[in-house]
Amino acid sequence: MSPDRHPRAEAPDAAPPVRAWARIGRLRAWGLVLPAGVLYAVTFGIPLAMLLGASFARFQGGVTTPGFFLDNYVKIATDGVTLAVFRNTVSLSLLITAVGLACALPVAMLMRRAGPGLRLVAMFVLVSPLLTSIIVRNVAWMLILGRSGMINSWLIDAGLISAPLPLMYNRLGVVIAVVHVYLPFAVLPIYAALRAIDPARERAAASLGAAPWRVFVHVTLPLAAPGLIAAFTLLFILSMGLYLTPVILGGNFVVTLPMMITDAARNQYNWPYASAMSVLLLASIVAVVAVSAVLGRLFAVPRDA
Amino acid sequence: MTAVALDGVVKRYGGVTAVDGIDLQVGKGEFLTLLGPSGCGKSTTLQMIAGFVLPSAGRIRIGGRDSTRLPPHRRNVGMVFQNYALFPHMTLADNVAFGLRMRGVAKAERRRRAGEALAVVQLTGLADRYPGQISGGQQQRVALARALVIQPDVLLLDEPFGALDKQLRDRMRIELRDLQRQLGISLIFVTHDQEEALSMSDRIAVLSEGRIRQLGTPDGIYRRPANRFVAEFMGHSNILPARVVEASGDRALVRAGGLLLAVSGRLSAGGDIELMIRPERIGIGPADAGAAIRGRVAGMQYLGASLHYRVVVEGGTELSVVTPDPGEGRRVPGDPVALAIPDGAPFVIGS
Amino acid sequence: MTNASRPTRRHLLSGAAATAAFAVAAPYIATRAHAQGDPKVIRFYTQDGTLGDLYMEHWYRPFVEMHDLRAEYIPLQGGNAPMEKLQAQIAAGRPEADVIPLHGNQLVFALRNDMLMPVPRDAVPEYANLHEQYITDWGPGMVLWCYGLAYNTEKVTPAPTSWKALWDPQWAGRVAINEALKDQALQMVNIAFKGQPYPVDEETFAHLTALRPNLVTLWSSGADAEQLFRNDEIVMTPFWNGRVTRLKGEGLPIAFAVPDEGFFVRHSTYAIPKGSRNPEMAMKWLDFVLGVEPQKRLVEFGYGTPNKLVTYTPEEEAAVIVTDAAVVAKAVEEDFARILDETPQWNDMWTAWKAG
Repeated sequence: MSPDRHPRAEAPDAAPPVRAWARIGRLRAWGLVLPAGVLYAVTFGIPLAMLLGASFARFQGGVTTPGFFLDNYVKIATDGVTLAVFRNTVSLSLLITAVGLACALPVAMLMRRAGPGLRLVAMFVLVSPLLTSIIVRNVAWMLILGRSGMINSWLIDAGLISAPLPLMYNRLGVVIAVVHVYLPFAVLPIYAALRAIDPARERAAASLGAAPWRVFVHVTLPLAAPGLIAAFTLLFILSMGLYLTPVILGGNFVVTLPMMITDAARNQYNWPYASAMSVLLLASIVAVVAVSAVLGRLFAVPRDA
Repeated sequence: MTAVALDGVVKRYGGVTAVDGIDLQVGKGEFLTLLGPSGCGKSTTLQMIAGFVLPSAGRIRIGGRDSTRLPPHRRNVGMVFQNYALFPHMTLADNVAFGLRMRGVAKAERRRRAGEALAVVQLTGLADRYPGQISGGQQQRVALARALVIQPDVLLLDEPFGALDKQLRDRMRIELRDLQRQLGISLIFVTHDQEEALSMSDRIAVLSEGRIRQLGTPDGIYRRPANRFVAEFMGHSNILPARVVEASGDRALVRAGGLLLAVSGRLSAGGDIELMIRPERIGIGPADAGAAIRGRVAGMQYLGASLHYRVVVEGGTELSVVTPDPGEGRRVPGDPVALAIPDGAPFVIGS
Repeated sequence: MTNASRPTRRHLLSGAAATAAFAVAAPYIATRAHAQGDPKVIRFYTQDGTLGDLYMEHWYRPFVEMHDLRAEYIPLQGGNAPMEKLQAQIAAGRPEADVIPLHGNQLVFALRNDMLMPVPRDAVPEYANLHEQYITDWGPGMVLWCYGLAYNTEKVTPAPTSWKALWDPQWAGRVAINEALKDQALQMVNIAFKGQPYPVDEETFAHLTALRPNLVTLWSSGADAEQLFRNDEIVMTPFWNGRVTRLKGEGLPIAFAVPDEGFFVRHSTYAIPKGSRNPEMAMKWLDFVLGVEPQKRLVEFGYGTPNKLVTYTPEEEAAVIVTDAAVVAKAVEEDFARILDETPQWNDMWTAWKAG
């Protein structure tokens, strides 16, 4: 089968054997991912199919009737509440993503310039929230942001305010606490992208007359675009799944779709509707991933130039 | 007129002195090369001229303006990097026009001048390609066009041909030199390759350990090295310790091993000196009883166009000799030979 | 090469299919294989924290030792029976626990979905000592708790006598209500303003909107609400009596008031799921746990008992609340079937109100 065995005269077109080789290579590659594929099919594919199936069941008076009904999707579209909460979830996620990126970019840039020691410290500080239980973390934020919390006490003691500021039980509290824990998911891809930039390119821009901020806008930022897109995608997807933090630090006034899903499943035993909302959430996340893949291709930078 | 002037420039990193007091003037339209081994401070010097590194002491003037503390974007300096440092997300035209854009030149004008600059480096027609789509040599030319289009006070090149293969490198040398002459641009070129330096420069500054060891024309540096370091760094040489036997005026007779040689220079009898004889200046011929210097071939290297002999002469001194390959009648190790060292070939280092 | 790779691929695929088939079938096979129960094993749900310790010490361990049983303990997430899991397990013939505590609406749900096994009266001799209203065909009601008004005794003076105290403008941003079991909060609004718990309608939510300036948060668990008092975030909230007793024990200036409009007393029905692998022992345990000693122990958490023979000291009475006929008479009668049926609408309105 090797193309080398065929004399040129007999095989004027070397393409077929080459294609065959490529095909075998592909088969082998598929063979290698097969175990993981099977694992995913069993642990992810089957439950997902069940979820999808459950979303078409009918729920009435506490009793679920399996079948193909569109009740749940009709309810999503028409009850006025679910879509409003969905929009609210999207806007909250966008807000968290924007604030997260704005905080992550300077941190990533600092880490790029820092020495190995400082970089390690920064990495540890960034990742440490992930090592803490979500409850402990949120309770800690309550102690900081609360009515008689650290910040309000300081501000009142300093005479800057007379009544405590509402720092939590609203969107602000949720955004602060969530950005705190999700920051590494934004910093690490951006940092990786920044590290891949040859500093000579930025120096070249400076030597051509670009002030530091213009170097950043015209060279650093576009070259870091893949990292920014990855960070955006990660932050957004993670934020779409928020449940506990809005409950605790949003005082339940910040309502997300996962909170509605939990309520439907846990308090109403309405699993068909919970499933339908989960499908909506999942579809929106798939859409974001697809958009980011397209963007990623548009902004792809040939690394070796 | 001076394009760039360095006055006592020093750069220290902690306890390490990378550049140790450099004074240098680059004339308008001059091609000056900073030559030296790695770690000699040549790149640091260039970085200081570009503004990426601030000197610890001394002053730098560019285009008649004190630029010692000026940030890079406020200096009118063009720079070409070893790995070209093109902007991969911009077309070649946008790469070249970048400096003009930063200077607020209108779009149409930018486009026109970028096109001209690309024409100068013979890349017309590739304006809309991206750096990833062209060869290394072409990228090098884009980098050059990008630096030239802003009409810099001085063009700085940091080992620009390091990543190219030999043939391309030779061609780029000629092109760069022609372009520099044609545009009359002041240029500082950093390299560790003495052949590159000799072939292109108006003047060469040989650096080692952060200092200029010799500054002069290629011919002067090659033929009349000021010190042993320069003599050794600039190609093959025979360096012989010698003693002055006899001196009168600016002529002297010196003894190096078993050789007795006439040299020029004001020397005093009895003094110890170092002699340099370039291997290509020594003639080699068949052994002849009447010859002044006789020896035996100890080794021979075939270099294509030339032959490189190692000859041990009477008294035990070993000399390198390079001659054009005659094709026939090559000497082989063991052959007795006669050497001829013409008058003027031995040079007293430092004289 | 191509020929060699094909059988390999087929081999891998068939192996994968077998693995997938096994993974799907395994829970079913495992369920069936163990459907036959061991009479010496019993499975209980356990609570976490100090309440869990109390149950373990006075409800489970003595019984298990008395009958020389082996017990399996399943932690109860959030203190609620996992109805979705149980429904699936009962359908598969293998519920994970032999006794399940059910809230009122959960009991309705369980009966509508045919999840329970009847508990005959004569299987539980202790029924003879119970107030009649706590005996059902599906097991006894116990662990009585109250939903009244908790308030900071230093800041809220005089003591509130009406739910409407929550609406007092002087408490702007200083009170909270519950997100957890919000059906109680909705009924509370109704009895405060309409004198009856139903219907939950636009008027109910208009009153909630009027309360909004006073609300700092909607708490999701008893622990959250406790923290609100400790951190001085709130001065008043509808709350559960047991939690108030606990905060008082910590030295906080807090008290539990039973408003004049009425309050809420709820309990859990301890039922045996269909397919229980040891119903005999489960019934024996019900009889054991209804006894005076195990029931009396609940005082520590403010929980009341259906057992008439249990007696309290005056301090204990103050903690348990539902010991005095006059107080019990103030309890609102709740319709759990209605609650189950209307929760979807109520919760949608609630979410719209919160987000609005």
